[in-house]
Amino acid sequence: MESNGMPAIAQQVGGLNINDGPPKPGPFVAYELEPPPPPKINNKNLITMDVTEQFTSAAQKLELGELVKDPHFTLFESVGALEIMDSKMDSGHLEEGETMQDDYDFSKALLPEEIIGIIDQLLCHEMAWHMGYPLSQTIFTSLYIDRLLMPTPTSLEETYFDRSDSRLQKEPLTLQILRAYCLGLIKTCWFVNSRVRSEHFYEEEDFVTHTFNRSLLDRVGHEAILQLLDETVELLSGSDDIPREIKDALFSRLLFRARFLRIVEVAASRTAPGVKEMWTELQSSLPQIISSTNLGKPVPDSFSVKVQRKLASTVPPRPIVIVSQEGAFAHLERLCRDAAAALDVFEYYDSHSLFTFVSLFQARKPQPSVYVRTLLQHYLFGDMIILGTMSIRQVLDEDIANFVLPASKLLDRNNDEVEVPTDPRFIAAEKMEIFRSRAAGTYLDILRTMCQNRCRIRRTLCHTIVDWDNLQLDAEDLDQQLREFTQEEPILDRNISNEPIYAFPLSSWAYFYKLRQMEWIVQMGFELELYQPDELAAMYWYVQYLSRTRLRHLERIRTFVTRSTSTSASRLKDIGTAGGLECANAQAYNNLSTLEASANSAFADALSCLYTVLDRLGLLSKLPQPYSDDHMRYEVRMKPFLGIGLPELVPFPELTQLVTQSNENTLDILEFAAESTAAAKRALEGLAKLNAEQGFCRGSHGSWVVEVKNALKACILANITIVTVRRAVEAAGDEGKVKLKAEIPGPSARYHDWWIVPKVVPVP
Amino acid sequence: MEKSRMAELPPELRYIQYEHALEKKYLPAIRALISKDLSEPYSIYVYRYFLYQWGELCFMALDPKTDTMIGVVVCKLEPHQSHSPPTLRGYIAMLAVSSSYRNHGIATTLVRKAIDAMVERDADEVVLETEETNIPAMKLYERLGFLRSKKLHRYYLNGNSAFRLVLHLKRAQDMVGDENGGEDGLE
Repeated sequence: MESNGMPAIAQQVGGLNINDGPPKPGPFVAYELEPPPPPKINNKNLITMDVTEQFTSAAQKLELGELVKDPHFTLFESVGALEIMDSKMDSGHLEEGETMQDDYDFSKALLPEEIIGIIDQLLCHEMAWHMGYPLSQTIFTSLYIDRLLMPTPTSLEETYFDRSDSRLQKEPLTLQILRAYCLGLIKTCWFVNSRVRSEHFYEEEDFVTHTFNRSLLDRVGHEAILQLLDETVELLSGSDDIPREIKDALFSRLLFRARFLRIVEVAASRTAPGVKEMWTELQSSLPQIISSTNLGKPVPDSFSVKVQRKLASTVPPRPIVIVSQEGAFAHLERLCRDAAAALDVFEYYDSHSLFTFVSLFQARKPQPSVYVRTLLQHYLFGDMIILGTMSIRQVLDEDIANFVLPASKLLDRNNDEVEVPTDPRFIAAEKMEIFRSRAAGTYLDILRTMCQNRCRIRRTLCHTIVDWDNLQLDAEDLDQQLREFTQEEPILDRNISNEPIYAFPLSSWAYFYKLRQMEWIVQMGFELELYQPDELAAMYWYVQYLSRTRLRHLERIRTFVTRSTSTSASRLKDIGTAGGLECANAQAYNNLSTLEASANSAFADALSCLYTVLDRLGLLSKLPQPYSDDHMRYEVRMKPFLGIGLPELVPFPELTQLVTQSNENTLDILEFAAESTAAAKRALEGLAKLNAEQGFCRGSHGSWVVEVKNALKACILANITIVTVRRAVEAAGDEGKVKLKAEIPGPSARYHDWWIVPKVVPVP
Repeated sequence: MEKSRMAELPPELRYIQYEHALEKKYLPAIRALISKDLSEPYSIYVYRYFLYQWGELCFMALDPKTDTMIGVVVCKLEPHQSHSPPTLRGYIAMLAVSSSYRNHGIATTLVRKAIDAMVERDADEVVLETEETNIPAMKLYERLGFLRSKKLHRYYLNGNSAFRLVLHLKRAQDMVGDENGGEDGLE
């Protein structure tokens, strides 16, 4: 656990898994009637004895008020401790006149309008659960749901709400509708919960899969429930004592539930046809429900905070979570839309486009919900088969081939067939396999990380950056060893170096991804609002530093790729061959990344200069630092990069010099900033014109263009801002005060999360 | 409104450092003050966990006339190691000021006293979490030099996210990791 954060511990304690295995009705039946019996001790090696006397005499040796603390009594235990008879901690404590359980009459007849009311409230609770609240404060607060789940039913026969003698008579239609809906709801939750649980997510933080010892109808098949839903629909259509409008509203709700259940049952399948259409249909069925919510009549006494007392939880009842109907439907609509869009991931074109797809999908706003993100994870990585059809090696090799090693014999699958251990091909295959085994995890971790929530993405990228650093070093060794097989001719150029220069393809590949990841770490800091105004000049300076390093590195890769392509050109006369295609892709990807890094570095340079000027003019709030200094703050900020060998962390004094540009005139800095925005604008316009193939965004070209255009808008705004500042500086002259005010816009007031353009306005 | 509040503030508050002998006298008031801001109270053991081990890092602001508890800060200080070299890390666990006395720098004074006590004990850094919507708290800490190092998604029971705030008290190369000096810290 990180830094023992108190709220985090409180949450974990709240979710303490008392007994969430298969339901064991015994102890819980006892709980509801009388205190549990003392434990039975059957082990004959255990000897029990009465320690009361020793305890009393030991306690008497203590001074009054003296505390004894076991060294193993940690913060976690202390937060988990309860005080008996405190109503906020003791779940069994009752206020005067309060009863342990609700006294609800399940045989009571309900109006059709009330059924609508309950169903719509349940939908709000279901969405609250999807948003991350526990079942105990949402769906499980419904007394009807509680009735269905306790005791655990093994068949539909055991799910009637009314268990009095009168139930021998026929169940009223209204109650059957509610029961069928509730069963469908719980089974839907079962599928959702199983999916989330089997993927990587953060319990409590993203989602609460804890079911508090309740079974979500594990033992009732979904077919039986679907059948009941269908039968109920039929029964409803045959009834003529319900007004038309109400009847339609009930219809649409039953149909919705059956649809939702059918989808979650197949959603995780990577082969089932028509899932996308199912999500779209579900989404288009929502307006009918939304338009009839006004017909519902709420039944507030059918929900109770007290149900939580019966759940396996260490904490007293917490308040019922209130999510508005608008909020719930908006969440559900997005869920349908995002889940349908996630299926586009199966249209695989190339590894680069896949990364773009996942990255853009996760950057949607609001970010797709946890269930959809876990579905995408499953599509990507289920059974360690990428998208259900490709091996990890296939994707990795393709990524390497389409960037640093096109048409290379190092990636020739035939090498694997060689069985003579002395054969160079055998050795090369072996070394490549070593590389793959080290690289695959780190490479796929990028995709896996992108499936987490935005805060976690940045935190995880910070933790895993060192893996790329290590991989790059390992790969350098392998690159050298593989030269025996490739017989690579080095570049000899005295103008560059006295040493021969080799390609180092594998370590080049690793270095590229490390640089990208470092850029993302800095850029996501803007998105998550981590930086204070007086840090922005340095942080944008770092973005340009990393992008510029990437540009130089891309140039190096291009040199070697072009060289190897031209030497093998005779082999690859026909562009239609696989090797020829790889060469074209490697060039194209290099072009794209070069253009993109040019845009990044120029734009970041411009903003860094602009913030330097605002700082110089005293327009950015500069906070006092009674305990630290800028150097120590720099170390806090750059902590993720402290352990990285390449590119080296820029030493603080040097960075200060480079950022403050104290030798430069303010107007010159602004002039340079204006030129940089112009360069960035050209590069961004170039990007916006690329087609899906050139942009390596096949499958997500539309959202890719939107992303580029948002950056372009930010760039144009930055240019206007620079001009405003320049005019004000010119107007003020050498001695005068610049009549401006600067504000840092929040995320909702920016064109692009990663490009914070200050809002500069004239003041009198 | 501000003026009437100002009038309520006693001319000079009494700031005292906690010690175990004061438990009976002040702990109930400390709990009452802190619980006001919490949706769920901490058990007595949480307070004892901190106050028993790091009582000297707890400071209270009292009305000199009535001895009423106006503000309190509770902290700890121990070696920390997770993804990086070990440090002697201070943690500000709880900070509360009675609502009618806010905006008078009482919280800042309390936090400064706690940090000063940590500095005396050779702390390398101080960390804490604060709710993303709690602008006054964030401002308070940022004015003392804290930086937001990461954002923690849905960190609180109410679903709000938090920022981790960090203040380095030394250069990284001078951090000791534990009270006995950092000779063997890194390995």
